[in-house]
Amino acid sequence: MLTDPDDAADDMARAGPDNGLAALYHRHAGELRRFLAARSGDADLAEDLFQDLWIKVGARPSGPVSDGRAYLFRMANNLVLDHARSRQRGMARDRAWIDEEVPSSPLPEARPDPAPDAEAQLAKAQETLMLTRAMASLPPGARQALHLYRLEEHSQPEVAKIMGISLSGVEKHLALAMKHLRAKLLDCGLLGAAASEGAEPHSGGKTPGEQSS
Amino acid sequence: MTAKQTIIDQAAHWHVASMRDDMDWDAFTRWLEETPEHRTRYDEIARADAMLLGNREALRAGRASDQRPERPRRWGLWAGAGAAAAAVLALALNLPSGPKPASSHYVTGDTSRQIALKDGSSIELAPHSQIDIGDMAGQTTGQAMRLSGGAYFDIRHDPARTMTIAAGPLELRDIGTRFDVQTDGDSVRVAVAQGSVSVTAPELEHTVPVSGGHALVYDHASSHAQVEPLDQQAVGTWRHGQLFYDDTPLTLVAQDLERYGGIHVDLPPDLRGRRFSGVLTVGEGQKTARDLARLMGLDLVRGAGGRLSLRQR
Repeated sequence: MLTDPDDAADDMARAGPDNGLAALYHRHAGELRRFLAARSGDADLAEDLFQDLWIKVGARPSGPVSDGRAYLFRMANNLVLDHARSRQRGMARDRAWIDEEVPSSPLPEARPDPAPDAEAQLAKAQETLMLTRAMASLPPGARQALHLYRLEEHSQPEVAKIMGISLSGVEKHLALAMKHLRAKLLDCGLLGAAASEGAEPHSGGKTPGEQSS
Repeated sequence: MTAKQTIIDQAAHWHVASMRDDMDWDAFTRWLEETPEHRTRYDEIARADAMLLGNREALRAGRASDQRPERPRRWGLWAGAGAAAAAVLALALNLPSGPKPASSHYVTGDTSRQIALKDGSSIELAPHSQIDIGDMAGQTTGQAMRLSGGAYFDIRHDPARTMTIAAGPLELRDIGTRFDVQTDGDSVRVAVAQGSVSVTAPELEHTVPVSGGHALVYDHASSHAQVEPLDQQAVGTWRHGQLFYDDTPLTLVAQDLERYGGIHVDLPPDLRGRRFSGVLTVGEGQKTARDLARLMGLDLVRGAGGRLSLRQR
């Protein structure tokens, strides 16, 4: 006999304080899967990440979560982001020493790869410089909001209180700051690798919303 | 506002909202499903923010030395249009500066050179650069220098002394402590690690102060001087084989590659307006040019006669 999924979820939720998220995971499985597919643009990857999410739920130390459903979606969202970032790093490595345009024979210094540490340090210094510059060129309000939110780690309502503005005002500042960061980092190629691959509008056809014209 | 801008705006708002409990995840899912571009733009925003978070410690450290919120300031240097101003400038630079006192002339080849001044100050003259150091006419404690190329100055501050450094169309005064100057005659970059420097030019309405942790970049093509914050530790790092750039005109970067790396790279006209931010290591031959190409998403190609040039992908 089939068990009603909601009853099963409630059973799990009652089984112990730590199982609340597990119950929610099952209860919202459909929405989470759909979200993962839409967010990653890849149905197979979405399934993998859905499994990863389960592992994360199990590994999570016990503790109160104010809104479990939102928490799960945030975790799912971060899984896609982490995957995109690791893919970007992998591609950056692959592309690092593309030499086919420069004939290799006359270049004794053409090595396949530099010391990974040096490379990583360079990349890090590059990022920090670029971000410093991007933040410095923000309008004052957006810069202050971003600084309070990301560097001083205040919540959005706290930022609103400190700046004496509304929450939606904070959101506007932060959205502007994010747009600005994106533009600056794209300009210097720091976001370019992943943006140009795997995320092309016409590459997949897996997204149900894609329309033919 | 273009359609693309609107999507980026929406993506940014979704991202900011996603960190709050009142985020509408169902509506966000539907938005993502509308078109693959929504996902692409959202992903760019999220990755940019993740990069910021990944650099949080370094950014906090940098911020400590620059508490004052600051916008880049721009000064229009020249009153007239570019060509006329350049002519005036050329005249100004060729004017005789009174009786010529004793002066020393230093030129470097492939390696840099350390120059010690009488008062204990020092100058490290970059490769392929030259500097004239003369006693200032009519003053016992003054010194006037003219630089072409690059040099890192470590100058003892002495308010009783007058010291000037001519670098391209700019003149540096009120000099104290440590700073780096790079010039090819047209473009000039003055990066101050410690202390401060005042920058003047014949057509400049007022003196521009550049303090520690700031750089002034003067670009002749756009006739603008711009002062921007920079990492003090990035000043003069060419002495250790590293070149730091922060929104620097690509033309200046190419000159540095030639000066410090011994690599000549041609820039096609469509790339001359581009700017570069990042770090390059010199001393490993053409690898530096490949690094630059990679960081900027450009191709490095070898043309006829073996000349290297950058081009758009």
